Amino acid sequence: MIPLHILVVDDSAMMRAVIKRALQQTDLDIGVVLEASHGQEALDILDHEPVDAVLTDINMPVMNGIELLRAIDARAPEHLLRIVVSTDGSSMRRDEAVTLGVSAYIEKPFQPEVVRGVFDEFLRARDAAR
Amino acid sequence: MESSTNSCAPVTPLADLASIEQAVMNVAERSFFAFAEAVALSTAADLVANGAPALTSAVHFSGPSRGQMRVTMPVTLARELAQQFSGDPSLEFSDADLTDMAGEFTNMVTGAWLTAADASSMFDLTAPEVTRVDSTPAVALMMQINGQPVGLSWLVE
Repeated sequence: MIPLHILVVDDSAMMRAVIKRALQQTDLDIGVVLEASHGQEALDILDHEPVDAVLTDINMPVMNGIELLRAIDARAPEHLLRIVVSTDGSSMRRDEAVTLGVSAYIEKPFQPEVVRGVFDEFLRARDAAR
Repeated sequence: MESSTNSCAPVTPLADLASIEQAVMNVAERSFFAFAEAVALSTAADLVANGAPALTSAVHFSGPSRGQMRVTMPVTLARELAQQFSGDPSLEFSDADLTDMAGEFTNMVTGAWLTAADASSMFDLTAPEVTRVDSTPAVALMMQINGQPVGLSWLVE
């Protein structure tokens, strides 16, 4: 299995740590877990590092998650799994995220099992597509 | 993202005390595996009891309504929440970690509250502004999380 390189984008260092810990509790073969505290930092990383999945918050300083997802979408990286992890659970925001290629929307507060479930589903879909 | 309107028409459920209590309980339970309950306002003095500092964090929101949520908790509770959140009670946390934790808690409470009150609307939330306080703040709701005091106040325009 090829390890997944994952980018976690959140302005809270505590939240990034919790998401990383949740990822470690999945059955995923995880390569590198990169971190960014806002969207612009995330774009800079995406310019230089191979990343398979991005988990991003919405409300962040400098560049928010929606702006980040728009920038990613403009680059049309079909292989890049996009997941939102946000306190904003509104239906409008969820719909907006879907139009930007987001595969899963995890609402804070969340339990680690939710992250695991999202990635297990992703792996099943990826294996089925092979 | 820009909010879709500049109007400030109040959304009635936002003023609902029960929805705020529920938001705190949900956040405490789901992310911190902690028990939260409403208590008497007279316990507000416990927030800074014995000269211990407290952290107060404010998150502003804008959308169909705008306003702010402010949550105050003793540093000891911020540390306990950080331990619960990280899943590792042996970890040591810096002042910056505790500030981050208090702000993220307020962020989650605000998001849970707004989503429950008005799930069909989008709100933009600011980054939490966290400061230390050493005198009892004005609060509109007192709760306890794992027996430690939490004070909340909010404003909806």
